[in-house]
Amino acid sequence: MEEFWHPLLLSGKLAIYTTAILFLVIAPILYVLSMYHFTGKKLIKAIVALPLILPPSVLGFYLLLAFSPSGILGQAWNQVFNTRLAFSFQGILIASVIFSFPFMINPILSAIEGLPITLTQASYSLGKSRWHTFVRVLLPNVKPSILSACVLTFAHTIGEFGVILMIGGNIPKETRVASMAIYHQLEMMNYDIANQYAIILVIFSFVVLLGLQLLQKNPTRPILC
Amino acid sequence: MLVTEISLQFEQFSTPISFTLKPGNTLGLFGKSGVGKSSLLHAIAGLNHRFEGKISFNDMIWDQNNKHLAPQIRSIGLVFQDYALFPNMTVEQNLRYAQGIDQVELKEIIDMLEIHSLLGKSTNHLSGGQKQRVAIGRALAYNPDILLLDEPFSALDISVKQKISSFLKNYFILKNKHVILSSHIREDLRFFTEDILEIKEDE
Repeated sequence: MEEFWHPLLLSGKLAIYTTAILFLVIAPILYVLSMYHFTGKKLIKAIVALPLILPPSVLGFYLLLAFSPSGILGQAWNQVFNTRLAFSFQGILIASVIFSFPFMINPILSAIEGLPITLTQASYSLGKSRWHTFVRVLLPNVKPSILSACVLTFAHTIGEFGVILMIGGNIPKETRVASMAIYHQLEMMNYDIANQYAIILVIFSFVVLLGLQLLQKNPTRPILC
Repeated sequence: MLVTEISLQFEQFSTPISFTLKPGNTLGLFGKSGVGKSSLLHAIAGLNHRFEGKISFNDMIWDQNNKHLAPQIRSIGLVFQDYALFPNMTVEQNLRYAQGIDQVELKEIIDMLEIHSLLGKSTNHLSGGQKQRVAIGRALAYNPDILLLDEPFSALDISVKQKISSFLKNYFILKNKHVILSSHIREDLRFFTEDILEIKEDE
C-alpha cells in the first residue's frame, strides 16, 4: 500500500518545491519586467514564455544534455554535491522549475500590465520609489492572479510527464512520480492500478479547477452575455 | 517659482505653452478636450516626456534636452482625472500613503472634504464624487510645493463643489502653494483665479 502512495507523495513534494522555488525566483524578474522599460524586454518575455509552446521532448532533450555527467550543469553539480543530476529528484526538480516558469510568471505579469498606469504614476507622484510602488500598490492589487499562478504551477507540475521521463527516467522513490507510475503500470499491464492513479489525478485536476473558479471574483464568463 | 516653456508634441499637432507661476498663485488651464491639458499637468509632474522645451522650479531645471528629473523628487501632488486611488487600500490608507502633514491638519482636510464617514471603506465602494474628494485629500495630505488638479470638480454636485472650492481657495493661499487647475468650465477656474491660460493647438 505504501508503494502505491509513494508516487503520489513524490508528485506532491515535487509540486510544492517547484511552486515555492518559482515563487521566490520570479519576484525579481517580475519586478524588472513590470517597473522598467528597456531594449530587449520583449525578447526576455518571449524566452520566459518559451516552455509554454516548446514540446516537452525538446526541452527534456537539451536539459538531459546539460544535466548528464559530461554536461555543463551535470559536471558542476557533481563537483559541488558529489552526486549525479540526471535521473535524480534534484534533476527533475530543476527541470520542473524551468518547465513551469511561464505558468507562474505569465498570469501575474499580465495582471500587473492590466492595472491602470495611473496607479503607478500616482504612487510616483506621491514620492514613492519603484520598489515601494511594486510591493505596496501593484502586487496587492493582483493577489487573485498570484494565487491562480501558484495553483496552476502546482497542478501543472503534478501532471508533468514528458520532461520527467527524459530527465528522471522511472526510478522508484526517486523520480517515479504519479504520471510516471501510470505509464509504468500500463507497461506492466496492471490496468487496475493505472486506473486508480488516473482517477486520483482526474479528481485532483477537477478540484483544482473548481477551486480556482471559486477563488476568482470574476470567473470565466459566458461568451454571449 | 515654476517656469514652463514647452511645446507638447502630439501625432497630428503640437501645443505651445509658456507661463510662470509664483508661490501662492493659481493658474487655470482652459481648453477643449484633447488639446493637451492633462498632458501638460503630467509633463510638469514628470510623467509625460513627449514635449520639447524646458521646465524649471526655483531655479532648478527639471526637464531640458531629453533629461528629466524623476517624478518622486518634484514635490508635486497630482489629482488624476480618473482619481487613481489604490483599490487595495481603504480611504484612510490612501490618505496616509504619503502623509506629509500632522494629524490635526489631516483631520481638518478630512472634515472639509466631508470624507470622515468613508475612512474605513474600500475605494471600490465609493461613488465618483466621493473618489474625487479622496483624491484631492490624498494630494493635500502629501503637502507638496505644487498642486496639479486635473478636472477636480467634474464628479461633484454644485453644493459640494462650492463648499470644497471655498476651502481649497483659502487653503492654497494660506499654504502658499503653486496651483494649476484644469477645467473645461471657465467659471470653475474664475472662482480660483483671473490667471487663465487657454490652451490651443499650434496654427
